[in-house]
Amino acid sequence: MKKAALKRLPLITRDRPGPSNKFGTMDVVIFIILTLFALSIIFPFYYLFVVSITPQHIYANNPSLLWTPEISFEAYKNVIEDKNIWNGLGITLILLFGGTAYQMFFTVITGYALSRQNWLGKNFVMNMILVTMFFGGGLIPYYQLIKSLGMMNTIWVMIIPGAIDTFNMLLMRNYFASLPKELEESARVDGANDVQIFVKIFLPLSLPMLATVGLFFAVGNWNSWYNGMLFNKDPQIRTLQQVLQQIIITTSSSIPNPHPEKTNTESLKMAAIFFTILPMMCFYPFLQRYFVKGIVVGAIKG
Amino acid sequence: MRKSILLLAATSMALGLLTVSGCSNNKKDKYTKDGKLMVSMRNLYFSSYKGGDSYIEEVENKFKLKFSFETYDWANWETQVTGSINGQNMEDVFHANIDSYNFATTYKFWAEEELVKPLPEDMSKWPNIQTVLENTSNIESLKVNGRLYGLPIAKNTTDYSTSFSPFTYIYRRDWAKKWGVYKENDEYTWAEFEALLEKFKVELAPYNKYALADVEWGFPSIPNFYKQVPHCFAQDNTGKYVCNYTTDEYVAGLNKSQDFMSNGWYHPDQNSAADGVMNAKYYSNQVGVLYENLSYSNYIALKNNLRKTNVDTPNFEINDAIALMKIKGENNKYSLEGTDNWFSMTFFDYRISDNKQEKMLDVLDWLLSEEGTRFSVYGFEGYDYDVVGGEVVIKPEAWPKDTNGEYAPKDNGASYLRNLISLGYDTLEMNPLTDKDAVDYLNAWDAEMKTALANNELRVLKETSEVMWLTTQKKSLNANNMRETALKNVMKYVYKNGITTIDDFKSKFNNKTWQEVLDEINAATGH
Repeated sequence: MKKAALKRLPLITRDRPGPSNKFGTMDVVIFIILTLFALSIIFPFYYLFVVSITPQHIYANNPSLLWTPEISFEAYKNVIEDKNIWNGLGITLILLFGGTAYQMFFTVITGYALSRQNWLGKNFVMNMILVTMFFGGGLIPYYQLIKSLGMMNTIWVMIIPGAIDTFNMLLMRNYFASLPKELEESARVDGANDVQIFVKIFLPLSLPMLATVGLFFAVGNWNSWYNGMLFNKDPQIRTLQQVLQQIIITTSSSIPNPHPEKTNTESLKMAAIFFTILPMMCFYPFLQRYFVKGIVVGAIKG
Repeated sequence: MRKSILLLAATSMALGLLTVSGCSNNKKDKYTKDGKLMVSMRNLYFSSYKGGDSYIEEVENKFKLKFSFETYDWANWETQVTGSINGQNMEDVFHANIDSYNFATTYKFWAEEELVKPLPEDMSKWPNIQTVLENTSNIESLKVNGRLYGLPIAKNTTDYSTSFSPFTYIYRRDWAKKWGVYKENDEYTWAEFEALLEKFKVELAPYNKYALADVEWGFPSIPNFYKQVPHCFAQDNTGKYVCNYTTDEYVAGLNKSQDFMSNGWYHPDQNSAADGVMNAKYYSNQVGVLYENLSYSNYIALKNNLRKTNVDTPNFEINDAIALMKIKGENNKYSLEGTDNWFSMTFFDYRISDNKQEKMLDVLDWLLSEEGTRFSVYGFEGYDYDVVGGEVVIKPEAWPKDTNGEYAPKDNGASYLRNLISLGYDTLEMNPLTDKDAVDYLNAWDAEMKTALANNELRVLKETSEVMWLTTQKKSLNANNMRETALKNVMKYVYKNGITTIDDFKSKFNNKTWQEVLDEINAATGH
């Protein structure tokens, strides 16, 4: 019976359409749906750009425009001439590179240490870190702590408190734990010490996860604004996101302002937003696969 | 065992935190090497100003002080103030937004807990400040145990009788003229106002434009012509406080707002627009009438944006595009929201010395004097300006003009300092940067409204002081939330979205919280 069924199988497959380069009706439908979906994602960015190069008198009279009859880079000129934007970019780049390296260092070594075989106090340390995922000390104690540590009004307040991100640390720990123990054992037999095992064996094998966690930190640092808003009073150390928020809000407030800043137009707002998101837009498509891949790999072993 | 260790660790950390976060009760006066007393300040209006110009140096030398300037973000002002106060990290002199809804949790709490330093009991040493305080509306309500704990920043120091806000309708007079619905002197009866909106609707609809929009947080503005008070607490015939939103007057205004929406006069995005959107729609020629807070700076911003938008519009007359309407309600009276002549205050950190506070008061008092005011507006006499025949003549080489031939703004630190006590409206007339036409126009409107008030043709909507500044427990705890929830329900009713009948609307206010707060208010006020 089984044999007979198997013998009939090629006949059945021959009756059905096999893999083909031809587009069927369903393919067309799927193609259209996915194209529309992709357009719905791309369109806001496109619109943002179009408004940013449209003079106010044209945009204001036709806000639904798909393209502008008159191109003006005046808004970008204003953005480029705005020293606050460049200050913000400088601060954000410091956070991006300095902060990410710092966070990576502590998160990775902690994840590695907690992935190794039992050592005294390991569970205690793990639990203490885990607790911070569910319970915070509250804003006021945090504020007091930052103040007592002398980090008010400094760039350090946007870097130092974020040394370890529990979620990312868990990803790293799980990934390290998923690597075969035999690698460590054989390295020890060859005379490697703990640091050598970590640097020469485990780190090279963890590149996908390092890329993922690094990207998480980098995106977080690029978007960072909260600590700066709360603890920094000096406009010179505002992050790019804070500057952007300021540009957008100053046009929207009904509170009388005796020293109004430059009157912002929609195109200036959009140019500032475009300037802010452009780096992420450029890099994200090439790096986003690591996000999913890294999380899936890191989640295999708990 | 593990739990015990965790508990021990948590306790140790908490104790450690408390140890490091201990705060001192005073700030010692610090001096620069050349003997100037250092003063730190934080104010919303400092924006990017950091000092360093010759004007601020002149003030510093005059008073032997050295200032440092910090600012707030417009979007996060209240959060930053709260963080600083609770974290015991205030500057010596700082700025906070105070209104009747946050009064109990900010000013009153800070004063009672002595987190801010009271002003000296005898202010006669600073006569100019004393005058400002005497002209400040509701000043008595700000006193805690007989003491004033901050300086209200005056919106207008020279004429405090203006008891109404500049919240009003601005409209496209040019369109009204073009479509034959313009009324002389911009005066409209209620029926004429409705006719204008209908005409605007008909003419604008083909272009997907609308007749009317309100500033987002002022929507709906129509009940202003009906209701007794702006927000929560009205009074019945016996003087007893009742829920404003369920009074017959408010309900009439609400139904009228619903009609305006149903008639298609209102912009349909009112319920979802973020702050500033409706203002932008007006200067983008998308709506014909806008209800807005028309302070001078807001009026000028709107005017400049309109001018930019219509740079290519033939025969565009800016003043016809930004005219103030004078509308009488169905009761044949104008209607404006009552307001105080201040909305934010300058505070002194409780830890600073009496000496430092007094020196700062010296500075502010001088800046309010004629000499100080001139200095903060023009700069140095003989360098920035001369006085010829009693008139100030600006020296062109000291104050350059921009490409449009208008005076370009320049940093004068004294003007920023003066904002600690005055918003600067009292210097508008003399300021070379002022749009004189705009000031004259706003003043003329103001004068007409004052005349109307004197002739009993103007209703000023304002809650009584006794209830506005009352800080009883339940009111302090709930009033803000009650107002926000009420406005959400108003929105639902106007849009017929979830609340379709007036009985259903009224039932939203028939609850324990409203009852308890009203009972508490009536008990406290003796009604």
